[in-house]
Amino acid sequence: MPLAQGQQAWQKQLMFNVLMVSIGGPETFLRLYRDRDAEFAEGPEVATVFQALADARVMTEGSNAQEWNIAARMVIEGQAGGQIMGDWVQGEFTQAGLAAGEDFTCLLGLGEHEYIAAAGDAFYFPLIEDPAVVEAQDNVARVILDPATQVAFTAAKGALPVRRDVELQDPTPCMQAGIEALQAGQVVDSVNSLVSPDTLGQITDLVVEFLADPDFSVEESQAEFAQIIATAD
Amino acid sequence: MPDIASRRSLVKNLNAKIAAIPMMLTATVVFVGCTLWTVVYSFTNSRLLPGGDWVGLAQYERLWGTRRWLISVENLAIYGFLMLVFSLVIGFLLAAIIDQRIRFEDAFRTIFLYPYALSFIVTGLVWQWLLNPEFGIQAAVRSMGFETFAFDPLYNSDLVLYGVIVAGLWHGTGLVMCLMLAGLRGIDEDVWKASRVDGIPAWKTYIFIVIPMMRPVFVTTLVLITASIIKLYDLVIAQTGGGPGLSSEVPAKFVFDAMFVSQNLAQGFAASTMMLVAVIFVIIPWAYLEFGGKKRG
Repeated sequence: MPLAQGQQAWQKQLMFNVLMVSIGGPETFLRLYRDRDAEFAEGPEVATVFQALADARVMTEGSNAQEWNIAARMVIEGQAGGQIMGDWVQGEFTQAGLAAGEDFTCLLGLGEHEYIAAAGDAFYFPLIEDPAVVEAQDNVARVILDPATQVAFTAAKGALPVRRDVELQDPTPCMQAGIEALQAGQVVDSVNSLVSPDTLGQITDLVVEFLADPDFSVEESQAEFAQIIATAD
Repeated sequence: MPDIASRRSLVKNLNAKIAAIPMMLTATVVFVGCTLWTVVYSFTNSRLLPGGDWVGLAQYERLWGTRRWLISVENLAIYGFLMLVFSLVIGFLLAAIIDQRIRFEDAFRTIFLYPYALSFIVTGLVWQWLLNPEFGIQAAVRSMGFETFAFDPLYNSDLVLYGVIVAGLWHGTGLVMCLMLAGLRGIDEDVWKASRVDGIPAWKTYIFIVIPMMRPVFVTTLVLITASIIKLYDLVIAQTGGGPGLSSEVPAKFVFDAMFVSQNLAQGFAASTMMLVAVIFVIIPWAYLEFGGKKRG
């Protein structure tokens, strides 16, 4: 099959929003999720994205994996042509003994709009009076953000470091492309930080239903999407 | 002296009354209290945390306009109906067969009841593997030489629900069988002798004499099955994750996702209130029939 796709809802939503940035472009993405322009959501720019999603629906037919790493395995074993996933998937390929740039490669923004959707997990520390505990908290924070930790961690995970001043030791071509995009400012906010989980949940339900049902038309799904954008918060 | 009499009846069985206090508190505060709290907050626009403004029925309007909820309700209706019918029929038939004084009765009873000892998560996972085309039944039959054999219910929107029902039946019929068997054993041997003397065939005796006599067992079984139907959640999570698409979504999963994934508490509360209403619609007529008017016994 051309495209491997895990069946979990978040992966389908991720694919949809990758298409939104890559095919529709960052302006389209921001106009929808930041400006919540429902009229624009009914327009031709968004229609191309839904058309691309319909193509993806055909290309992922028979992709019965649930987890993203099982879907990645289908690519590694040569059963599938490619996968749309976050940069962390590189770790799976490396673990399987494949070398980036030789055995597999990355196509940032599907080769169209080479933008990165930046999202990160956060560490929160409770406010504590005890100076010993405060010092320990500082230590943890220092170790996490230490350049050496970042280099080792990103090398294993295959992702990009959270600091821009870190010099990566021989980054893979994939990481190199990512770093260049970051330095050129080709970054959009993650959809998670633009709309509420509630709105994202509605979008996810729509995408999941669309991808599972070949009779769900592009026009119909786009109209429902515009409805969600109109009530988004 | 009515005053003393009433005080005496209060002190009477004091130990038992004190012992019942924790359960009474649990019932009133936890069950009734939390239920009321949930219903009240379903009229607000609470998001991650309860609070927000009063929005009347807006959450319910949105709920019944959401296709995923409608699919969930329809799925539960189909699942519930088939589950109820088949687990009662299969459970009773198994019990009737075992009741023929067959050999190794204990062994069969154990085999049939064993699935009930497994959690729904394990059941769901086992059946997910069995029905998975890559390494389940389809792969096994194909490896025997039938190359074109296709059996892939979990990845087919029209069939997935029946895959879940099969797993649910496998899990639940053993218990129904045991309850039915206990009911059958409770029927007086003389009833059978009398019907045999009258020359009534065995199946007629079952349907017209034994089953009506087993009414209390049926009521208990019905309550147990219905409860397991309404709370259907973990089986779907383990077996299909609600997919493919939305075709095996159920209301309990909708509630969980609304509350903890979409962080929209009020929407989840509205959905769970609708589930409660459905339960009440089932329970009230039944309770009226069962306890209404006359004393039992």
